[in-house]
Amino acid sequence: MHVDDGIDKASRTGRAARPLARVSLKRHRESLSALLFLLPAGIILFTFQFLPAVDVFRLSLTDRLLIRPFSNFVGLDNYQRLMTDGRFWNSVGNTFYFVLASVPLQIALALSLALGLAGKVRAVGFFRTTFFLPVVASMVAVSVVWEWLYHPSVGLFNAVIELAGGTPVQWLQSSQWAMPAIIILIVWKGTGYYMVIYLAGLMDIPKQYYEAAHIDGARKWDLFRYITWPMLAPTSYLVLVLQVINSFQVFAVVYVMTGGGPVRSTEVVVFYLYQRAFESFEFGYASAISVAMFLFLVTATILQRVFIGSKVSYER
Amino acid sequence: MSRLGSGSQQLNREVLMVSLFLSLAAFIWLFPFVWTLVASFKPNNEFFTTIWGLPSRAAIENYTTAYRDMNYPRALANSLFVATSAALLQCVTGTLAAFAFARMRFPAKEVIFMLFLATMMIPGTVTLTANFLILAKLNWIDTYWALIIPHGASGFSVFLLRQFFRTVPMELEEAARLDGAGRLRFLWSVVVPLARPALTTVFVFIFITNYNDFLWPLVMTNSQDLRVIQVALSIFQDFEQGTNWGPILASATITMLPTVVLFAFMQRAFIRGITSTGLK
Repeated sequence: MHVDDGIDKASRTGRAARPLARVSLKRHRESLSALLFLLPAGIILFTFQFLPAVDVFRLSLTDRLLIRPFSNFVGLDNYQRLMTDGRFWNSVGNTFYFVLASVPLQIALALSLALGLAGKVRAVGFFRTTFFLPVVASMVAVSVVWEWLYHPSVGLFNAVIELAGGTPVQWLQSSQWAMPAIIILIVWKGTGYYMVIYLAGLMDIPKQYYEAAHIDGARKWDLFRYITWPMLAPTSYLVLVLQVINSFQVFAVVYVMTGGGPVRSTEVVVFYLYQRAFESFEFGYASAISVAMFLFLVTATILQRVFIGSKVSYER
Repeated sequence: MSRLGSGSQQLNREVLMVSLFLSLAAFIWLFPFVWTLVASFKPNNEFFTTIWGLPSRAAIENYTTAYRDMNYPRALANSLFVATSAALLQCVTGTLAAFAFARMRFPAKEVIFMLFLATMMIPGTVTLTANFLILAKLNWIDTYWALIIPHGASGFSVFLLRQFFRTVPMELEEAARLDGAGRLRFLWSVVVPLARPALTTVFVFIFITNYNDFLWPLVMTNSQDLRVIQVALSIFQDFEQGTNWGPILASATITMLPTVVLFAFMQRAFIRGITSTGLK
């Protein structure tokens, strides 16, 4: 940081040197104390966010093992291995399955609940608290509980299915149903968070718009189609970006409920990364997985920006 | 809305439909919590004989087993200590940095602020391996430091507090200056008391996030003494796999309880954290 910037500017102007020098001295001191104020947060963020974000790229070019303190530069070897690693691509596929199913479901449900709560219903506070409760509950504890709910013989889900006359499902023991089970749990757990964001977005829409449309004889659906939905576009865009990033991180639920199984049908990228790094201790290779995941996220965010963000109007 | 007779009737029907929809959803949302709480008092054999039945007696032994085998007091103390320390630390580091961004002039301010915010975009899972090696270099693996210090600052808390500090009137600072108060003094005795709602939001938000965190402590600690409650729960559940549902549900209940209770009391503060950080 250039704390002497103020002095430079003062000396460049040249005119009325003495008072300006005093001002620049003051500026100088202000910059210095600002630096001190920024230092504690700055050091932590630099050491544990920026440094590892850069270092992970370097690590991905090495054959670093956790149990061996030295490592060799191996160029793009890890990435070459990644290209032909069936387990990696399987985990990518599973993650996409999870993201593409859970994100739209959560957005649709969060918006529906928020629209319901924004109407003239009673006990809004009760409903909001209820839908938000799973958000603050621990993911590990919730997964433990839902493993019981999904249990083929003693679980609630199959009990309800049997009650309704359907055929029970093996849920977490079935490679076909394990991922849907995880998705249902995540929708229950996460929707409240996005509902709260949508509620705040809805509150920001000026009431006059609805009144004017009403006078023009607009129907309910028109109000939603031509006022609510376009006005919520910035909110929806942000919810989408956030949710995709968050959903890519899914780990605890897989670790607790399925361990990636059955037959790797729920092995997502972070879980595979965890196994490579902390079970077979291949830090170099795991770092390449991290970088690949980062690139997926960046690509997804850019695509969303190009195809959706560019159409979003922030004018009110 | 229309005040005509037929219109208001239609409106009433609509409100009724929406209320029904919300009530049904609320029932589904609450049911797992209530059902778990009830079932955590079921004697273990009743899990296999009846799914719908209520417990025949209150099986307190579920809780004593969970309490003992999870080493609950130690695990809870670890989690509370770590989450509280990280949250307090963020209040301090966040306040200082946010004050600089909100109220002071210095070169490259916008760029530095953007860099601080950019940290919110770096997913923790991506930097996990590199962070592990950094902590190893610091000799912090398997220590409380590893659980607290890396979570002692965030773009989130800096941003949230800066937004708040910008609303503090400039005249207050000038008045404090005239009274001869320095910047730190002004910050501590004027801004911080005014910012209590914002600081509460930061504290509650960061506390709950850290209390519920799983992957980080799982990876960064190893010894039993340092085991936080989430890790203790996952180990306990693994150990009891699919047989002792009573103790398992009891352990999940006492793990969830602290954040759920905190949220019940601090709901407003928590929700403000989501809605006021540029997420809308």
